[in-house]
Amino acid sequence: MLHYRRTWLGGWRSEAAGPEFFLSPRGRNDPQAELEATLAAFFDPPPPESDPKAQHPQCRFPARYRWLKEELAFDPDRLPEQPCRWFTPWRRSLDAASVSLVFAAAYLYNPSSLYGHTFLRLELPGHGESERLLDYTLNYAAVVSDTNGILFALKGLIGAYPGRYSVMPYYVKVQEYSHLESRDLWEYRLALDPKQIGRLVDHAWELGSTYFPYYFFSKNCSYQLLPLIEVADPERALTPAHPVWVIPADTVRRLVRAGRIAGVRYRPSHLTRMRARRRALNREESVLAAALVERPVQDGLRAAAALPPRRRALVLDAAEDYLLWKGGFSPDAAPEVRGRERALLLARGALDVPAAEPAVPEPAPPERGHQTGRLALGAGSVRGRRFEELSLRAALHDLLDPPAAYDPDQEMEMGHLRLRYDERARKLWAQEATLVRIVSVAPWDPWVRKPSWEVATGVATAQAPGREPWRSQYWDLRAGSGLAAETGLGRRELWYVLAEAAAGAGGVLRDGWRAGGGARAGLTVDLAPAWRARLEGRHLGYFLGDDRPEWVVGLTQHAALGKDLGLRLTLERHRRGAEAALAMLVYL
Amino acid sequence: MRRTLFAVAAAMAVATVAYAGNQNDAGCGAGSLLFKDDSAPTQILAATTNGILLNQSFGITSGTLGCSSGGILKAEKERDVFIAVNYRNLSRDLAAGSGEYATSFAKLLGCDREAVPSFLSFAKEKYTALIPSEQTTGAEFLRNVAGQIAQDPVLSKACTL
Repeated sequence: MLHYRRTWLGGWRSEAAGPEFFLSPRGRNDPQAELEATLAAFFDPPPPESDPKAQHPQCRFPARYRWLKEELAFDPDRLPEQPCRWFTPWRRSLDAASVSLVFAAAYLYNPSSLYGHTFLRLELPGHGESERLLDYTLNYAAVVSDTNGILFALKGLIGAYPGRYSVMPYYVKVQEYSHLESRDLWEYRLALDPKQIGRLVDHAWELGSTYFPYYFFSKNCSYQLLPLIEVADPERALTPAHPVWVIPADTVRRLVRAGRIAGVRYRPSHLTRMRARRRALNREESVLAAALVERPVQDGLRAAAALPPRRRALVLDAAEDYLLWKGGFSPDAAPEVRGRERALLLARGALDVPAAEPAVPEPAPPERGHQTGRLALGAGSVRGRRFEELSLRAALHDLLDPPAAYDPDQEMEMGHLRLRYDERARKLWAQEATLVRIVSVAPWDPWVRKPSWEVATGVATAQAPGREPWRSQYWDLRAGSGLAAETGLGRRELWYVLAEAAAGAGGVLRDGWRAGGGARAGLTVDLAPAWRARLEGRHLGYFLGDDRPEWVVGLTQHAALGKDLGLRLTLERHRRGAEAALAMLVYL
Repeated sequence: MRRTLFAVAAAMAVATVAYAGNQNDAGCGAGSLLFKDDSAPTQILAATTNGILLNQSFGITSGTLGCSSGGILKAEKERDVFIAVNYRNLSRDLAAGSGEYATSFAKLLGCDREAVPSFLSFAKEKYTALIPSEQTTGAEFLRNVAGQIAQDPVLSKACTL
């Protein structure tokens, strides 16, 4: 309840950083002192009536009070129970019958959303399943005031931002994640009884008064929900002792593994539903739905009138979804949008066809995806020289990793180190040390209109012919933009082409640096449920600095041997020669 | 990334400046917390973007939005804020006579569970009276709803408003 963790020296330290969380000046490091100070404070006289925000310690720390009261059998004659003017109404509004952990899928367009997000939903007894929007949520987030990107990233990494808990209606979250950011939501009902839930909510009030240092990778939104659930149910230890990094999907995995999940519900995003509605239309109807949004609406309505009512309803629903996507969800959207919407809604209202939820195939839930980290051990040869390679990747997913529960057209790598050992020369070096690489090659969608893009930076090995690879490291930075398309010639193929700009700096390069551009084109093929292949070619011409171009053509195949095991065969041809490698991959 | 941060800064300015807002704001800046711009590409959330809490409106012991305390909406503001945030989805559900937003709204109007189907068909039938034009504001809409419900024999009893 006080979030104490053992320090490296064997003492205690609470993760809560705000002094208002502790009643003893030594409270942060001394549980005994804090306990004594807490018990003493419960005897305090009631605070003055004049200050509505003044709280008695029993009200500031209701979870502690209730727990100690039960454990120590407080005698109300000796320790009078104080009324809580501020806490009690708040608590009554959050008298939840059940609690769910909600997971919002990853969002590539905001760095703090790359791994998804989790928050808690407090489900009120008066609300049925169709009124969940009115439930309240408990959220942990960093309070950010910087607008400088570098400072933002730096401060987030070192825990310089305070993290605070907040409460807001679920519909605010749904609008934010599902509509504005097009992120699917997964609602995991937690197996907690009413007493446990009560403790959780009481504790949330205690946490609300303080802050915790927010570390983007470790003590983040996801990590900070675990102690809250642990307070509710102390029997199960959930919080990792010394997390290096915690990603939201890992939190879900922990809870599933601990048996704390009673059920799960999938809430597709607006974008997912829009696409599902469009899929249910035939070609003509799809064109008509688009015309209702892009062309004069009366023409479209006239054409729609020719359709039977059921089909007309489907077209109008798809068109409205598209209009919301394109014109936005704000009540103050442009008059043109609002006028068009009115025409569509009136036409829809005139039909006696009940609204139907689009048939959305439910994807694999986040915890069923392969584990976050990856280790690969392999061997190969380049130009006849044998090598062994060890690859360590902190997170998360590339285009050939098993796609279940991940976006099949996105690559997100952070902290990828590849060590190579050349047998003949007996040299070990870092072939690659990627800091971050993000690639989005979603097939072009005429309604969504998002181009493909990529960004990557890290240490790489230049293809400088004549120079040994262990002396050819340099810092690489690249970005690209392009298009992708999917076909169904076999099971599924993804075709992509990206124009790339790249820059590098390092001793291996003549003049120490280079900058230039080129293109990358490839094809990913699903050959079988557990077998994916990628054929890719890339050429980069450098115009500034070291102007030697680089190119590579390769075929990589991945066979999944289980959820967290795989085999990968790479065949490449580049400036250093022909390269082949076979590796065993383990996800952990 | 820059766009996000620009929106962050702009949103902070909006949120901290008076909640003058507009008529669709519930009078407490609820709408401006979410909608920076009405065109989809630049719609970036203002108040909370998962790991980032841009203002303290919803903080548990610090949060006051004018309409809420500790994140809990004041009873008299529940309908206004719901409308300010969900107006588009709500009007869509009401026109079709079904949906989560319309059902939740019925609950906020104090309608009994058994009366919800009546409310939904009432909303579909009376849609043009509830939302007479595309410029109807949230506040006007709520007044129309109250007026129309008062005239309906079933709902005037079933919904306590």
